[in-house]
Amino acid sequence: MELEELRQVTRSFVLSHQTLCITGVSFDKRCLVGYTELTIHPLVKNFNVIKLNARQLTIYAVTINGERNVEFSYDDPNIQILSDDDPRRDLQSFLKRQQRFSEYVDPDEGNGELTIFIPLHLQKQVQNSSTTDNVNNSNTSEIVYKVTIDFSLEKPESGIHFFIPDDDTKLSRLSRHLFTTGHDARLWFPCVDSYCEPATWTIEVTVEESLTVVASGELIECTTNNELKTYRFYLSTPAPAPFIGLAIGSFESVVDSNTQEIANYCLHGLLTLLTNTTSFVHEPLEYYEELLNASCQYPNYKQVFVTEPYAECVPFASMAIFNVNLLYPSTVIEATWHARSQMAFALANQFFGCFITMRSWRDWWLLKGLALYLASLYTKRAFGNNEYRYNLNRDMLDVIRYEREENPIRLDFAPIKSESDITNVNNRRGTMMSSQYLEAAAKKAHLVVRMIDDFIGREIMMQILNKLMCLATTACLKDASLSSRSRLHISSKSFSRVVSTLTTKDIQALLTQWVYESGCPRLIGSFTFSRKRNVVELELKQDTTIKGSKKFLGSLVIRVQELEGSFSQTILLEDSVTKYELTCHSKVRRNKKKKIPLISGDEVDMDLNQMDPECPILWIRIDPDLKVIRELQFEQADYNWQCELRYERDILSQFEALEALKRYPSQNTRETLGTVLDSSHCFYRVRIECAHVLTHIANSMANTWTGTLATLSFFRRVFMSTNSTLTSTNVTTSSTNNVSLTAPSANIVRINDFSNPQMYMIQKTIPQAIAFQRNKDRVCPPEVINFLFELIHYNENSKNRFSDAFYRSSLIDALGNTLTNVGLTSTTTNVDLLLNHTLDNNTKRIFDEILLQLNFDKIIPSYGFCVTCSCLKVLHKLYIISGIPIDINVFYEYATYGMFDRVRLTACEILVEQIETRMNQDVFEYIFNLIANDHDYNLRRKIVQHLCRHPPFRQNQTCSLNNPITIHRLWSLMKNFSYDNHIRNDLVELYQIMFGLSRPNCLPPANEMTDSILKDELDDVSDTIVDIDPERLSYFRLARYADDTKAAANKLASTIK
Amino acid sequence: MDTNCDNPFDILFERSLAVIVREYGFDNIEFSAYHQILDISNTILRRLLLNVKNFMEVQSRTEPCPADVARSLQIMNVKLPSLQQTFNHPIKHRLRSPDRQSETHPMKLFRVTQTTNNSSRKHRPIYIPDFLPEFPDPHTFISSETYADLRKDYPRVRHSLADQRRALQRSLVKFKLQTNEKISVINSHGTNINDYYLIKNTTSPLPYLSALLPQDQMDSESTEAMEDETAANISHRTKSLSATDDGEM
Repeated sequence: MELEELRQVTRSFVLSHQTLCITGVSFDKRCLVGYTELTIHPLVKNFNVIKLNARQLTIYAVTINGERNVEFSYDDPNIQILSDDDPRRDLQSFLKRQQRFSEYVDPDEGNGELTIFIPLHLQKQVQNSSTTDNVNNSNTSEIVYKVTIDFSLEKPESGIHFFIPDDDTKLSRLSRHLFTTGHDARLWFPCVDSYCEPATWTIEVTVEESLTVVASGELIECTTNNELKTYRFYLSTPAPAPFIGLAIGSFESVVDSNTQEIANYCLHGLLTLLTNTTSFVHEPLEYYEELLNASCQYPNYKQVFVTEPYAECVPFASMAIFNVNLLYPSTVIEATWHARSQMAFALANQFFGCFITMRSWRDWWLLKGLALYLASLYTKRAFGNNEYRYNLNRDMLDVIRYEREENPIRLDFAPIKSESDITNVNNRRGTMMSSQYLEAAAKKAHLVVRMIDDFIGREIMMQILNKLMCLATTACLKDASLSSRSRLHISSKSFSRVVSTLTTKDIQALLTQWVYESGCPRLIGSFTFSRKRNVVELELKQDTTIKGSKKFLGSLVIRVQELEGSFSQTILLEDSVTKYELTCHSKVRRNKKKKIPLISGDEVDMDLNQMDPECPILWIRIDPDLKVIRELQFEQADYNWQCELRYERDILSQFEALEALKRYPSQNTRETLGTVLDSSHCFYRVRIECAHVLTHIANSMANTWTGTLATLSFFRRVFMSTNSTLTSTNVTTSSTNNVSLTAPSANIVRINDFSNPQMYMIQKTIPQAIAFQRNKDRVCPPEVINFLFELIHYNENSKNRFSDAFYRSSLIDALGNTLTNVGLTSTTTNVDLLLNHTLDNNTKRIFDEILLQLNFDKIIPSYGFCVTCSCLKVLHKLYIISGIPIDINVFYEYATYGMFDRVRLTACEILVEQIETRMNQDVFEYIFNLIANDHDYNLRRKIVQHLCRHPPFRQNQTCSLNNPITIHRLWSLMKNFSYDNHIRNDLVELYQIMFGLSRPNCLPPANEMTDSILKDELDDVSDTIVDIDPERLSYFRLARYADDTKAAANKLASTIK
Repeated sequence: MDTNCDNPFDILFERSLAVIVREYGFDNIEFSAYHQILDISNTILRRLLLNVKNFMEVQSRTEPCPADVARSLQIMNVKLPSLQQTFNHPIKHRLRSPDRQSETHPMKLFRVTQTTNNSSRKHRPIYIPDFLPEFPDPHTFISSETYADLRKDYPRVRHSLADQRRALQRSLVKFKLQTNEKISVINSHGTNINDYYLIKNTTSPLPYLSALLPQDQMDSESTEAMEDETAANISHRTKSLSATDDGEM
C-alpha cells in the first residue's frame, strides 16, 4: 500500500546510504571541497541514467563502482529563468517558466540538474552479477551502484552561509563560522533533494584543529592529523537530504545538565547567555516523549546559535540552527517566551518534521501543523492555558486577516494543472510560496491539526501519533528493508487512512473544508428572548460575499450563561441563514439574592440591577473553544458584554467582550473596565487590553469625560509611592521656602522591581495605552505627557534583579504614541522657525528626550538595542506626524552593515515606510541596493517582506515610482536571485503587488505581432528544455568539466592549506 | 563720568584734559562745561586724525609723518606759530602715571599643602612663640556652615537620585558628542540649526556581542552574585562536556 504511493514518485532508484565528505574548508576563499558517495538501488530494469540535484556546485568527476570519469551532464535551467532581453516583463510568463523549470529538476518527478550516464558495460556487468547470484529472484533490488561525485562549492549565495568578520582581531577570527541556511540541500552538495528519500548518512568533515564541527548524526570518531581534525558523524536514523545540517566554527559549548544527549553551541563570548537560554531544553524533550509515548529516534540533539541565519530557527535531523539573537541573559524577562517556543518548535520537529517527513509539498501543512501542535502543547504546559489560548486566538485572527486582505490560503499545495490557473503568485508549487504566505499557512495548518485533534479526541490523537512514531521506528532498525523506509514520511491521505483505521471517524470532510479548499466563514449572530415560550431565538448568518469567505456547514457549540448556570448546546449549521431555538433553563426572577454558578464551577454574586428583568440570559458565546476557524460578529446588549467581561473566566470570552465594548462608550462600560483592570486575578493580557479599550472609550467620550483616566489612577495606585508622606513633609518644610525649587511631583514611581512578571508586563504596557488618550481638542492631555516624562525621569533600576531595557523602550514608545498632528498648521520650511517657535513645547521635549536616549543607548547599550529601535521609530513619527525635518541620513546610518541586525531592520523598515509615504526615489534606490548586495541575507528577505506589506504603490495606482526604471530594477533583482528561492518568491510577490500579473501598465504596450511571435518562440524553447535529449545536450557541456579533476582538486586543497 | 569709567583710555583722556584745564588756572569746573570741553576736544582730535589719515592716503602711505600733521592743522585753520607759543608754555602739572593693575587669578580649588603653608603662617598670631609647631591646615580646624539640605525623606532622595542619574546621562552624552564624530539629526537645508546631534555609529564586525551581553546591569550586586553562580555552573558543565568528548573518542 505504501509502496504503491511511493510509485507515484517517479524516481527510478532508491537511495539507501549517502556519505558526505568535506575534505577542505577555506574561510578566506569561502569555499568547500569534498566528495559524496551515494549508494543507489535501481528500481527499473534498464537503469541507465541517474539524475541528481546539484546547484551552484562545480562537479569535477563522477565515479561509479570504481569506474572513473563517468560521463555526466550538468544543467541548471533555473539560472536562466529570466533574460534581460526578454522584453515582456510580465509575471504570467515568468511564473509559467519557473513552474516548468522547477518540474524539470524536481527529484520527485525523477528529474535533476545533474545527469549521470551509467556506462553500458557497467550496466551489463551489474546485471550479469545479479542474475548469476539470484537466478530465481527477478527482483532488481540487489543491484547496487556506488556513485561518487567530487565537487566544490565556491562563494555560495545560499545553502551555506559563511560568516567572516572583515577585521583581523583574534576575537573576529574566533567568530568565523559557516552553517547550512535552510533545506535546499542541492545548493551545497549533490543529492536527491527530496523529502521522501530518507537515507542513512556518514558525514566526514576535515577542518583546522581550532574549529568544531556540528552535523547531523552521532559523532563516532574524531581524529587529528597534521593540525587538521577530522570529524566523522554517522546518522543511523534515515533522513532525507534537506534535513542534513552542518555548522563549523570555533564554538563554545555546553552540555545540558539534565540530559547528556543535548548539547548547545554558540559563538565565542556568549557562553553565559547560552547556559541561561538553553537550561530548559530537556523539559520539552521529556514532555514530547511522555506525550507520544515514544522516544526521540536520534541519538542526540544539538542546538547551534549562529549569526545571520536565514531564519530564526531551522530544524535539521538531530540538530537545529538558531539565530544568535535568541540568546538572552537571565536579567531579560520577555525574551524567554519567544526563545523557548522557538526551541520547543525545533525540538518538536525532531519527531514530526525532520524524523517523520512530508511525502511531498502537498503534505507540508500536516507536518508543519503537527510540529506546531506539539510545540504549542508544550507552551501550554510551560506558560499556562491562558497564554496558549491567547496565542491560538491571535493566530486565528492573523489567518483570517490574511485571507480577507491578502490571498486565500489553500493548505494543499497541489500543482496547478493548467497554467492559465495562475491567478496568484502563491497558487503554485510548494517551493515557490512567498514567506508571508507560508507564515500564515503554517498558522492555519496548526489550527487545522488542532481541529482534527478536537474531532477525534486528544487521547486518540496521541495514539495515532504514537502509532506513526512506532511505525517509523521500525524503519530505523538495522535489518529493516529499504521499502519500510516509506513509513518515515506521511501524507494527508495516509494520515487520514490511519485515522479511519484507528477510529471510526472520517476526517475527509474536515480536510476538504480546510485543507483542499481555502477560505474561512464569517458568522454574524444575534438573539432575542421570547418570554412566553422561555426560549432563546438565535439567528446565525454567514456572510459569503466578502473576500476569502467560505460557507461552513457543521456543528458549532453555543454556550449560554443564564441565571441558573451555564449551558452548552451543539447546533448544526446547515444553511447560510439559520435560526435556532434554545430552551432556556432559568425562570425570570426578581430581586432574589442568589449566587450565580459559572462554567468554571465558581459561584458569584452579580449586580443585576442593569439587567433586563424580563430576560434571564446573561450572555451567549458562540464556539467558545475556537473549534472552527471563523470570524465572528455577535450582537448582544452592552450589559451582556459588560457582564461577560467581568464574570467570565475564559480569556477569549473576555477579549471578545473587550472588542465589543469598544462600540459602547458609556459610564457603565467605564466602570466595568476599571474593575477588570483592577482585579488581580485577571490574566495580565486581559488587563492590558482593558487599558487600551479604556483609552479608546475615553477618546470617544472626550467631550463629556471628566476625571482622570482609570488607567492612570490605577497605575499611580499600584506602581507609585503614596503621597501621604510627601504632603506631611511639604507642610514641615514649607517654612524653609526651598520646596518650590525641589518640590517633587505628587507621586514618584517606585524603584523597579520586576520580580512578578505579570505585574512587570502591566507596568510596562499600560503607559503605552495611557499615551493614546486624547482630549476634546484631539491632542494628548498635558497631564499624560508629564506623567510619562516623570516615569522616565524617576526610573530607577539599580536595585532590580532584572534589566529595565524593555521597560525603557516601552516608555519611549509611549512617548511616540502621544504624538498627534492636530494643531500643526504651519507648513514652514524654515527649520529654525519651526523648531524654536511653531513646534509646541511637548513635541520639542519629546524630541530632546529621544535624542538623549538614542545617544545614551550608544554609550551603554540596552539588550538587543531595544531602546535604539524604539527611539528610531519615534524619530520617524516625529518626522511624519510632527513635521520635524529629520535628516534621512540618520536612518541610513543605522541601516549600515555592522550595526546590530534588529537595529538595521528597524531602520530599513522605517526607510521602506518612508518610500510608502514620501515616494522618495533615493531611498528606494538605497533599499534596492541593500536587497541586492547586503551581506546579511536575512535582512534582505525581511526588507522585501516589509516592502510587500508596505508597497509604495499597488497595481494601477499612480505614483512617481511607478515607472519603467522600477520595473527593470525589480526584474533584474528577480533574475539575480536564482539560487535563493525564498527571496525570489518574495520579490515575485512584490512584483505582483505593484504591477499585477500581466505586463505593467506604465510600459508601452508591446507590439502585438512581435509579442506573439516572441511568446511562441519562448514557449518552444522552454518546451524543448523539458524533454531535451540529455545525451545530446551533454556532449558540449562535458567539454567544460571533463578535465583532469585530480589536479584541480589538489590545487584547491593546497590553496586552502 | 560713569559712562567712561569702564575704559582706562577714556579715563586717561579725561584726566589729561583736566590737567590742561588746571594749567590754565581753573581749580573748579562745572560738570557740564567740562563735558562740553571734553566733547569738543574729542571732536577736534578726531577731525585732526581724520585729516591726517586722508593726507596719508592721498600720498599713498600707510604711516603718517609730521608734515601730514602740520598740513592738517593748517587746514583746520590753526596757526602754527600760536601752537608754538603754547608749546613753549611751561608745564606745572603732570599727569600721574596710571596705576598698575594686577591680574586677578581665579581662586585655586582643591588647595594642597604648599600654598596653605604660607597662609597658615599668616594665621599664626604674634603672641604664639616661634618655637611652637605650626598650625595645621586651616580646613582641619576651621569649620564652616553648610547649607545643603540634609533632610532625607523618600521623595527627596528619589528626586536627587533621578537628577543625578539624568545629569550623568546628559554629561556623558555631551562629552561623547564633543569627543566623537557626530551627525546632525535635522535636515537643515543649509541653515545651521545645530543643536541636535547624534553620536556617529561605530560599526563593529561582531555587533551581536555588544547587543546581547548585558551592560546596563553592572552595578547591581545581585546580578553579580548570580553571574558568579552561573559561571561556576558553566565551568562545571564544560568539564563534563570535555569528559564526554574524551569518552566518545
